[in-house]
Amino acid sequence: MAGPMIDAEEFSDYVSARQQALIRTAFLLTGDHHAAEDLVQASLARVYLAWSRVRDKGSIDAYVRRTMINEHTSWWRRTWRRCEQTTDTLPELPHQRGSEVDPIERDELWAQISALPPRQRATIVLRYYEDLTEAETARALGCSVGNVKSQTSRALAALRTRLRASVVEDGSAR
Amino acid sequence: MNDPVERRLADSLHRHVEHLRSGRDLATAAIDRARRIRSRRRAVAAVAGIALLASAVPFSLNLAGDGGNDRTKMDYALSSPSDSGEPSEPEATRPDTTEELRAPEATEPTEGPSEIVPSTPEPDESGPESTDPESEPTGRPGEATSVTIDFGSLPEGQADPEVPYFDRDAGAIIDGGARTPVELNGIAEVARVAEGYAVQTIEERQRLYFVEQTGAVRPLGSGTATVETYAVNPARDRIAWVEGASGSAERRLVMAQGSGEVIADLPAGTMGVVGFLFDRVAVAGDDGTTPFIWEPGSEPEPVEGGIGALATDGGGYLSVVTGDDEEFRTCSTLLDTGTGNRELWGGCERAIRALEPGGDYAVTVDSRSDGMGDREFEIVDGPTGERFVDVEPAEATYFDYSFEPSGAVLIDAADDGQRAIVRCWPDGECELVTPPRTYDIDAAGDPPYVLGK
Repeated sequence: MAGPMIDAEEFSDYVSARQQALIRTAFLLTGDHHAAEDLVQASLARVYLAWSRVRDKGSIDAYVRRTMINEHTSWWRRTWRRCEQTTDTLPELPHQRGSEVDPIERDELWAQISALPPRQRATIVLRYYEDLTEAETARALGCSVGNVKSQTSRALAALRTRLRASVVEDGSAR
Repeated sequence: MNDPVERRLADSLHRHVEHLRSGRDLATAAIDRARRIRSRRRAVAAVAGIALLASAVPFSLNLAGDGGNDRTKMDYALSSPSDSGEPSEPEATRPDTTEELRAPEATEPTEGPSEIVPSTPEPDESGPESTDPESEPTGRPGEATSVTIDFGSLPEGQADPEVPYFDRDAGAIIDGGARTPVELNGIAEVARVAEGYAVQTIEERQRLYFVEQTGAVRPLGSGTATVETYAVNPARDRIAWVEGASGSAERRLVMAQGSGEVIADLPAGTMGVVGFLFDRVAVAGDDGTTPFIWEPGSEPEPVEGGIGALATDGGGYLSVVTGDDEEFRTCSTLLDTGTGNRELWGGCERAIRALEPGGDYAVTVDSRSDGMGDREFEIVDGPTGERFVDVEPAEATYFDYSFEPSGAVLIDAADDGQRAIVRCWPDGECELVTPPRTYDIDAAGDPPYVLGK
């Protein structure tokens, strides 16, 4: 029979298995390592409160993801961060190694992603990092599939425009 | 994923975090935090039980209109389930509309007359800054982005509107890439339905028509009756309208399929259609009678404590008029009908003019606005009323508002002898969606564009 001790153990096992993956998603949402850890911790606290009510433990990832999106949205609304700040330097990465990708390209794309409004950014992270379908993304965001399509389209259009503009700048600078 | 930008995007996101690690013990920290939240909830619940008892008597007297001295501005403490982060029951009241229309039982309100239920703020320790419920903002807190709308300085938007609109010069309903020619005079309102459009015209009196995507027109309802108010449900497969002129004893509330085939009707009295709540229609009058919510096959359900209604979001949110204050301003409150008419926020300074489908955002105007044109408006958070954008008074006048699925609001606006449709985002960015056309606001002629729903 499930009880508080078993819940805590089961919950801890889940977090141990999924913590790093959750941190990565939270980092893509927030753009900051410490904020990502806070977001994951706050979200997991809420998940733990509901742990015994979650019948299908196989879908706990979707539950956690939805909680994280809601939590991040409420942070954004509460602290009036309506314009995401672009980053001139990459956030601290504890184990950063050389990457095959040109670091200039990676910085530039990330800067453009960071400049997206929170809802578009969340849509992009869920569609292109978590690799969710439009329907799964809509459930995570609590909106319609049409809204997801619209947010994705708008975000991609913004990224394309900014990337084209930066290519033109690079060309004229050389 | 064939698009090169999408592939670069996916690669970039993965490579950006592939080496990201956290050494914190988040499981233990989360459990400790959850236990503190649980303890605090138990303490607050004990206090709230006493507070609710103390507040119940004066609240009910106020709604009954008793006590002129008690008619003070009502600002409610903000409490939003969407801030809780838990995808539990409160989230279920505003799910994806398509799914919920097939299973309405999950959000059906309690049986019998529904009363407005004051909300109790929940403690919330989430986020980087701990939120003390004692200091939760009330009314209109915080700073919003201030913008002014001036056609001359707005950029041109790149995306077509996601709601239909009527272009009078073109004589057509424009809906994304589709154009439906319409041969009707005096078009005043357009709403998309599953197989066409419900179009209201005003000439000697208001009438309602169904326009097929081919442009073929047929009257809705009796065809000869006056139709002053109507609405379409979120799934676009139901239309509700009230036919019969004001003061007529024959006025009826009609519910029909999206094709116009009537499902049921009932006497409407002095009521007009406010909007849909999933498949139920909310109706209200402006003579102080209680609004009600109705679905064919069930009895109309009064919204006790309300004396009128302003808007719905198509889902569970209903903005209800509750009375006047000592300055004769109309007071209103936003209810969540999916959770027993729980109050979300309200007051007497502002009134909701439009709600985003799904309830994420709302447009508010001065509660004294007469509906003939606003000189300012605000975009606010739907569940809490917190302001995001304050469109300040300038030269422009705003006539109508319609939210797009993306969360932006389209505004039918006039400025400097011209009229156009403008789009504004909750972050304050605004753009022109249609080219401005000459419009003499004082001549009150037909506008060049009619913003739809």
